This record gives sequence, C-alpha cells and structure tokens, in this order.
Amino acid sequence: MKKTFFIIFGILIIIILIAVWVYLLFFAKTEENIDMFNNLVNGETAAVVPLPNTSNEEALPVNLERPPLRQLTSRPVAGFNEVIDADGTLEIYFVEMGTGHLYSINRESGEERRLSGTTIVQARDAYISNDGNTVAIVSYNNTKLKNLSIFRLDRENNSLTEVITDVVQDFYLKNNQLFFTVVEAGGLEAYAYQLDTLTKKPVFSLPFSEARIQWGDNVSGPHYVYPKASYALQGFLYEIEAGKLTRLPLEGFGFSALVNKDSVLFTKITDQTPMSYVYDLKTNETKNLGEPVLPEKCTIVENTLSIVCPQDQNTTLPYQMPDLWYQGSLSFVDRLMQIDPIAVTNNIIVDILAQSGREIDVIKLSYAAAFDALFFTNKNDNSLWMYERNN
Amino acid sequence: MMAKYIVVAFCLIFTGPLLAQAQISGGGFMQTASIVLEPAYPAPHSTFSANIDDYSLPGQTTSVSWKVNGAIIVGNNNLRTISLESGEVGELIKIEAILGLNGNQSMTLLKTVTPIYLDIIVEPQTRTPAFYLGRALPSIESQVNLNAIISGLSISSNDLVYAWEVNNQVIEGGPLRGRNSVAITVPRGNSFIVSLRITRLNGADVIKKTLRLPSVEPEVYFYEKSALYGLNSKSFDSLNLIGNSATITAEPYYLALGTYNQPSLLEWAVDGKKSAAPANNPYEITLARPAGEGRGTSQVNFHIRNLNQLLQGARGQLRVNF
Repeated sequence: MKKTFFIIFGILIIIILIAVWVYLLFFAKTEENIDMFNNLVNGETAAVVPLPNTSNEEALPVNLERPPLRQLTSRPVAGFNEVIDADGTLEIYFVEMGTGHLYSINRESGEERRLSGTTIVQARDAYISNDGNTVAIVSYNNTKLKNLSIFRLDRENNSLTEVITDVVQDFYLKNNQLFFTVVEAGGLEAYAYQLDTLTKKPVFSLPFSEARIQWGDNVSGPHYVYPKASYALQGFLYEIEAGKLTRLPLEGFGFSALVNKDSVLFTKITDQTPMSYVYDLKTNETKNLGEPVLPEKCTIVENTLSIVCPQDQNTTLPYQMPDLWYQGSLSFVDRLMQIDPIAVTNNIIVDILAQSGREIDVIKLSYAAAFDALFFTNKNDNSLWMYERNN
Repeated sequence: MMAKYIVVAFCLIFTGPLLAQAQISGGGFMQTASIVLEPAYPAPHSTFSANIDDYSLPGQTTSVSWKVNGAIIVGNNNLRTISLESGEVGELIKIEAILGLNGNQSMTLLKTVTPIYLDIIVEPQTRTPAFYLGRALPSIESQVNLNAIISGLSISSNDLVYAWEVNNQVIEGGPLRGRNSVAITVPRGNSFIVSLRITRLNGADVIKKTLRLPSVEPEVYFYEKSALYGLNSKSFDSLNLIGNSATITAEPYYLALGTYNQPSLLEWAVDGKKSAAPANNPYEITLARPAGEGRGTSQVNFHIRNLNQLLQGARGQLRVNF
C-alpha cells in the first residue's frame, strides 16, 4: 500500500516537471532587460553626452607625486652620471653592467632611452663625461689588471666608437680628465687622459702598487693615497701634490680615509673594533665620530663641505672590517647620514629601509650638480637609485 | 792668525765631547752619560720621553735642568725623565740636560731628534678576485713585497743603508745600500716579525722599525657567475637553484699566486663524487638540475692544494638546494 503510494507520487512529479519544461521551451518569453546593453540604442543615433563629474571620481585621486627615494633602474649599472643634453634636458646616463649598453633616463618623466647598443662584454665599471659624449668602461679579466676602453658616443647611429684602450688597475673620471693607474716595476704609475684631446699625461709615481687613490681636481693634485685597507695590515695616508709624496699624520689597521678641504674622515681598528674619526688638518685635532662608517662609501658635498655617508645602525662591525665587506660575506642595510666635519655632528638624511622597504648596501654615492639629489647603486644587485632632497 | 786656530782647536777638543755625549775619565775607563729617548725614534706629532742615563758617572748628580730648542722648560727642574711632544715631520728638536755634579761641576748632555716616518708597506702576493677592493693577506710560503718609505728626511734612499730581518734572520745577505724594497717568503707560524734598520753611509742610525705580520690560512668563498654580468660579488655557502643550472666560481683567498696559477691538486666533488673541472677555468663548475629527480640537496666540495707545499691549500663546501 505504502509502496504503491510512493510510485504514484513519483510519476506525478515527473509529469509536472515535463509539463514545466515543455511550457518553458515553447511558450515562455524573456523579459526585456534594458541594462544589459547600456549606452547602445538599437538602430538609433546615440547622443554623445559628457560624463558628469561625480563625487565618486573626486574621492579617487591619482597620486602623481614621485617618492623622493626611488629606484631608477632594474638593470645592473656599471656607472652613471647626470648629463645635460644639447637641448638642455636633465638626464641620467648609465652603462648597463655586462653589456656595456648606454641608456638615458629623463629625471622628470622617468622615460628611458637606449643611446648605444654597442656591446662591451663583461662591462663592470664605467664613467660617463658630464656632456655624455665620452664613456670609459672597464671589463674584468679575472686578474687585478682590467681592460679599459674609452668610447665616443655616436648619437646618430646609437653606438659607441672606441678611441683608446689600455690595461689598468684603477680608473676615475673627473673634470674632463680620465685618471688611471698601471702597475710598472712593482710600483704604480698614474696617468691622465684629457678627454677633449685624448692626450696622455703622467700624474705621479708610487713605490707600491696596492693603493687606493682619492683623485684631485687636476693633474697636479693634490691627490690622496693610502694602501688598500685590510684589518690585519697597517695603512698610512699620503698627499701627492705636483708629484711629491707627503705623509699625513694618520695611520692604522683597517685604515681608510676621505680627505675634505680642512679635515679627514678616517676609520681604523681601535680596540678590535672599527671606529671612525674626523681629523682637523688645521688644528691637528682628532675627534671620534661616534658612528662607524666606511669612508670609501662616502662622498663630499662640495657646496657645504659636508660628507654624506651610508651607515648601518643595526650591524655591529666585526674587527675583520673592511675585508668581510669586500669579500661579499657581509652586507649592510644602509641609511644616509650627513656629517658636519667641523662640528663633528651627524644627522640622518633618509632611512632607506623605512622609505623603500628594501635592504640596500649603498655604493658609488654621488650627488646631482644642483645638489638637490643623491644617486647611488645597491651593491646587492647594482640597481641605480635616487634620493631627491628637496621633495 | 795661527793663534786663532789654536784657540778654536783648544775649544773643540775640550768642549766637543761634553756636547755630543758627556764623558768623564775615571778609574781607567771612560764613563759616560746620555739622554735616552722612549720610543727611540719618535714619530711626528707624538709624545715621547727623555730620560737621563747617568748611572756610570762616578759622582752623584745633584741637580738637573732641561732645555728644549734653547728654552728652559719650567717646572721640570731636577726631574730625571720629562715628557715631550714632537712637532711636524722633519722638524728638529734639540734637547739639553744640564747636570749638576758633586764638587760644583756641571755637565751638559745634548740629544737632537728629527721626527720622521718610516712606513713599511706590506703587499702580499696572494690571490684575491678582481672585484676585491682590499689588500690580500700573507699565507705560509707565499711571497710578500715590502716597501719602506721614509718621510721627513732630506737624504735620498740611495744614500741610506737598509738592513732587513725576518724572524731575526738577516735577509739579502746583510745590509744593502738603497735597498728600500724586498720580497720575502712567509715563514711558518701564525705570524712573523719583520725588522728594518736604516743607517747613513757613515753607520749612524737613522731609524728602526719592527712589525709583526699575520700569516693566515687560505680560505675558499663561492660566488655565482652570470654569463652576462660576470661574477656576483656576494659570497654564499648555500645556493637555491632556481633555474635549470648555475655556474659557481670558487675563489681561494690568500692562496699564493704560484699555487693559484698552477695548482698540483684541484678537485670538485658533488655528493662525494669527483667531478671533472672545466679545462678553460678549473675554478668554475656548472651545476644542472637532475632530470626527473624532483627536489633535493647536494653537497659540493672544492679542494685546492700545492702538493709540494702542503700548507698552501684550502677546502670549501657549498650546499645546493634544487
């Protein structure tokens, strides 16, 4: 009895469902949906009406302000310089590491252009002249001696034309002169190429070859020299003017220095710890800076004679400095610090990690010609960064 | 005219010794007094002490007064040791001590000091990669170049005699004129001592300096090499293989250049199995992800050694996660 009831009930439901399906298939009509084809008028000319300014659009502003600290390239950079083009546009030229290709970045718009596609294999370090027309590129060959090539930029053909090659230990471009050193008879000979004429002049001779040089503004100097730093070997500071070597009263283990107009920022190992000091060249007084820095990472800002240094406040420097940093087994998370060498005070310009969220080990620090920006590369990936100070 | 020469000669004979180093004859032998400096060769802009050495005088010194560059130093009367500051490099300091002796005798001691710098620049000839900005360190049996630079002396280095010693052993066969640079081989031990004594051609001391230099063990660091960008300057001991392959370069820091250029033993091993080193650059190895083996970890070992100088060698190991 019960089973028969369920069978009849099931058949009835099936019949009802079939009836609904047949109705929908043959008799049902869709409703008109005017929203489905919005703005399209069937067969009629559409009137163009400007969209009203709604309050919604005002609530969603587009942020056109650039952050003061920004990454300019994702490519690794061998060298860079701020260049004013022939039409007066301020651009940053850079040489791509590895390829030697030359690019420009418009500082205002951020637009990037390739100026040269000439490939320089294993390009590692580069300098660009202030007019952008001469590029010096060094490529490594697995020894301390490096292949230097000087190129002229052919803007029409987007290429670099090699004009000079040399084998060098170190090189630096300053004030339209390319300084470089070569190892000769166990010592070091320094020369300079005048970029306009490409004439070569001797600058000075050194009786040792493992030297780090702070080049002067011109051939006669003064230039400053100290033996390359190591925590286990003693270094000494020398001044070279008109080819004459004069000892300055600074020395120490792990010694490195940056000479300013009337002062010297230097770091040495004191009581098994790297410590930084400022030496006053007029009073012969030495003051402790308080914060340890690596002078070779710093730059002198010429308009104020202050010094800007990258500094990592959270890393306690081990006594094997700077060797561990050179080896790449220690990296810094830098902030930029401005040092007043007269008052021996410092203040923080920008906390890079806080502003960018990136851990940046700052190298090749330099400033813009108008002193309104600082440029640097990140040792970890060699990307180029800029910090605009007036923003 | 003749009488004038006799007077001058008389004065020189009887006062000269008192000025240079006061000497008193007694008991059949010469007894002397002098001013002794500590350190013996003060550097420019440094503090040093002057001490009276009069122990061999027969009598007692009853009073002392000091003069520096002709001026009496107030407050230092009757002190046997005084502290002084040296000036600029090459700036001569004339120190006088006037000793009062028993029996109303007096004696003047004189010492002149010219603060000069003697810097010995140490240049170890050991391996560091091209991107390394520092100085290499010495390792056992490697070569080290030493350069002596004197500042503040008007004499040419060719008119000076250099006597170099390593661990108290005279090198180069003895003192040599004008030999301001030498190449030495690092002796055994964790450190070694280099001494340099410089004298004038007449044998007078100019300056002496002694250094203790380290001798470190070579150590291996690994770097990733990109075909396009070259060697990445960040070292690592653990690598996560992201692509299908990676090229690793082993850099044996502080290895003697001779051993680096012609190693008698150079081995790469992956998980204990020796791997052939590439002929073009034996310091590089390319690691490829094994096909169809999923994820894993491999241990890569590198070993380099000079089999004739067994302490000239290094080992390093690297973990590769793939």
